Amino acid sequence: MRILFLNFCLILALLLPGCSGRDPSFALELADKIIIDESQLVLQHIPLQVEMIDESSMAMLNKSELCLYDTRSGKLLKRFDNSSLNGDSLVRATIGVEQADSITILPPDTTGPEPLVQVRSFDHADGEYLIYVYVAYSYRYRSDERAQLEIKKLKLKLSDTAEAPILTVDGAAPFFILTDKNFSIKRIISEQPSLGSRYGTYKIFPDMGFHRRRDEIVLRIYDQPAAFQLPPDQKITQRDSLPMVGLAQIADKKISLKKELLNTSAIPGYSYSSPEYGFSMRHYDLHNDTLLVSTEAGIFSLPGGKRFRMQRKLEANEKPRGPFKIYKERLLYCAGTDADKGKTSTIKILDPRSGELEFQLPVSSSQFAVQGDTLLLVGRDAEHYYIERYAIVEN
Amino acid sequence: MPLLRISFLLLLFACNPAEQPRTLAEEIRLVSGGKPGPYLVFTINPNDCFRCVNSLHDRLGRVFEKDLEYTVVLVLKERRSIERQHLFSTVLSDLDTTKVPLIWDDALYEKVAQNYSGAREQSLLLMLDAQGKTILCKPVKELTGLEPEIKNVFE
Repeated sequence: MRILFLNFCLILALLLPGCSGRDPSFALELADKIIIDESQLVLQHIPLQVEMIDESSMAMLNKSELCLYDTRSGKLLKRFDNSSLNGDSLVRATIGVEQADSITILPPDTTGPEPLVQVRSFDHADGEYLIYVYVAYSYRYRSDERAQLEIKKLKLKLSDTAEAPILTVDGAAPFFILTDKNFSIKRIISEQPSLGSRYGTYKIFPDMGFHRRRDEIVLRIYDQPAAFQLPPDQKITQRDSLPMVGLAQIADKKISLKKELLNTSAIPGYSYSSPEYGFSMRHYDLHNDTLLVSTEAGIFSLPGGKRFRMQRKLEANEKPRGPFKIYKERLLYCAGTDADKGKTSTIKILDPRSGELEFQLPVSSSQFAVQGDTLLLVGRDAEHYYIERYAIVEN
Repeated sequence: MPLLRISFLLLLFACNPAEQPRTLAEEIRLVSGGKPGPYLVFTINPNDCFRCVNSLHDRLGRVFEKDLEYTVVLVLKERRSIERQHLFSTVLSDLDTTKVPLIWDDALYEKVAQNYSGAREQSLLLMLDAQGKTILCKPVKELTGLEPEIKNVFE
């Protein structure tokens, strides 16, 4: 009888923690810090975008160049070499006939310190990179009348006696480039004229990041410039239903917008000027086969446009920065305030169901990637840029 | 004796008046080694857009080619030594620092940027006349070379 009672107590002791309903909380533990080798490429700021490619390599968008680093040694493994791209012929093939007839494209000026083909964003999927680039070019108008018109637009006051000015105008043509894992170019994809919208024409905005799934791309869209630079006193109402996220499709060498996936009507009382759940707008996370996207109004699942449930609103002065990740039902993200001017951030682990902030740690940047149970953060101190490896641990 | 002490303190105070904040023109004069105006001040942000950096490189090249009446001053934010070395081989290539004052100073960079109401992270050209008055302050990328104030500088 006594043995039976002891066995009962033992079973009860083993079962109790599981029955308590109390979830574990999570924290980060620093496991490693690797200094990034700058012997081949000097870094001048924190990368704009980072993505884990495999267990030991990370792709980083450094200003205008896509680079692959070994996360164990900090060595630069590969750079997207765009010198093989003929920007001049790319531009000529892209601009419309009407524009081509009215301008003279000037020979590319390669004397400047910056390359003329600039990487703006990228996504890695299925062993391939899809890279969004701008190709810079310069042109002059063939007619003096057109040049004068442009000068008026620039609001330049010229004296009456000034000779007919020669105005050189700078342009930039956007392209997607599909490469293999070694950055060898497989296909160059240009943008097709887009769909009509309520306010004019939809425009795709891959500059702020995108998510590719086979031949489909989810990306930021807009149809009026005001969507990005709204006067602070103006409030966009539900009635306006401005487009936010769209689905584009690649067919052969063209990309075109197919439909709107998310607009501001999904957000009750939406206002660009005072977002309560505001996140930056370049980040995507594939969580249990559901694609989540962060916007300045919060995190949404696609294609349904359902808002990610969060019990706790962000603090009044809290500014989320960089990517986000859903890890075991927790939200991992970085945030700072206006006052810190982006120089410091705090990485946070939040349980969105309870609103409990389980962990926070001041860090020097907001660019991180998660792979398995490891979080990698690219940071900097007074002398070096580095990759910090954190284990995500259960408390 | 107390009178003598008070007199001494008053004399000390008169010799060390509260320091007045320097004007931008005074600071520029100081960092340029006392060279007189007019001044041509460039703030340089190497992380500016690629068009802006290339345009800045081109404009600087043209300024250094000439023997201008302006005192040219370049202002940058503080950077690591490896970044400074890198800049001398890119944006600041061919620059003779014995002739052109190159100032790495966050506070001065911000002070120049206050003359422009737009985004402060853009590389700017600020022109001050001999009296220290602002004649022009414009992002380098917006300079067309046709502006009357700078026509003789870049043509």
